[in-house]
Amino acid sequence: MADPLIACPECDTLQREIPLPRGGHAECCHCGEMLYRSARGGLSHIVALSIAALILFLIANALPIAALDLGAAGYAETTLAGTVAAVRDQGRFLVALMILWTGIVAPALEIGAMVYMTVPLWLGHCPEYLSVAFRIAPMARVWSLMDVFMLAVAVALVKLGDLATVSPGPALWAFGALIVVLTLIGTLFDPREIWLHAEANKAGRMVAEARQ
Amino acid sequence: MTALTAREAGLVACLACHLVSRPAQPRASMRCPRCRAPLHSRKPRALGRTWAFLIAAFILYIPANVLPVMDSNSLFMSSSDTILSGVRYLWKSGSPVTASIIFFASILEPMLKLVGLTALALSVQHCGLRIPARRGAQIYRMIHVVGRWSMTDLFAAGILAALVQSPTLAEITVGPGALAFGLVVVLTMLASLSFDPRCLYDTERADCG
Repeated sequence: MADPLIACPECDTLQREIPLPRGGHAECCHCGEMLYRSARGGLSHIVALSIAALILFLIANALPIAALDLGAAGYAETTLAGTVAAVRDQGRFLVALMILWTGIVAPALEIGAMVYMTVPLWLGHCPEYLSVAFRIAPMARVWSLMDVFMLAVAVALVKLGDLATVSPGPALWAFGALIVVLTLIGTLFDPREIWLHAEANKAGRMVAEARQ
Repeated sequence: MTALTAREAGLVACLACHLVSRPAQPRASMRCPRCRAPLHSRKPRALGRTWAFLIAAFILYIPANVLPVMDSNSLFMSSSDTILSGVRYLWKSGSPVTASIIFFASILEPMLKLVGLTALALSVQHCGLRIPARRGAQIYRMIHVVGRWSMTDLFAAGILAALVQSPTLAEITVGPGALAFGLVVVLTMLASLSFDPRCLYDTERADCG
């Protein structure tokens, strides 16, 4: 059998998958949508980036994202979770839930799924719930709005600027680095690679999927 | 150019892992043989779901813009800001860049998204309102990329509420408009996730045939 088939996710046009040069990408012959790219950097790169993302995520959540200095009147700072709690305490339960989901839970699911998938595969095992993690990762990515949250901190600082001395918190550095790492994962990671490694690990050798 | 689609060939592509497979028993609840994701040749009831989320978002768009998203009380003054008055305040107080960002992310962008998705849904349903499929897919892709930034103002209000909460001096609370606004963002995201861009090409192909 020749090269395996692929269908464009945007227009459903059936075409044959061709091998790509390093760093190249394939476009749909009908609508021009990008179909897949060659995996630059192997699995080990993705493992390293995923673990880095996990550490940065923990730092971003543990440290304050912004601090407010009112001189003699007091000092206040807040973390990501503190923001959620403050909004909830004001009785805006659903708004708090939205911030919790897009700012904390969805990014945690995305990063957790990446680590859960890539680390065992890299070590030569096949994680038990690989397919579940594989489906959670892109779903969580859609709802993960960490970059938006970072812009929001900047907006909040500007809005308060003339009222008090506000400073960005140390967590913002972790935030910024995390966004870079997640973007790198997004560009370097080819999800199809997961299955190549999983099949190789299962069979102990590279087995081409029997595709018709 | 006549290109065969997976559906015409009796195949289904998995949206999660991109494996193309031949479904064993059509119509039944199919799962991808590789990643076990539910398989659909087209997203189920795509148009109906898109419309449901869109209409809900259109309705909530009104309170989202009329009700205040942020209330501030201090010793000297107390004010309620809607999204638009917040933008105006930022503009006047000498932060035109931030004002522009918020204007684009909170006012223009949700509106364009609602209009864009409505146009796409109508394009699939009515011949007279047909958008060229390629252009439609471009619009759809753009909606996905910029859609997320609408949440900025809501997050900012949350951060301010967490920072400024000394009842004697100054207090900022998240207003009722924030709930409506957040729901608009979530509903439009759900609407665009429910829409299936492959339908755009299906209708174009049907026109040719």
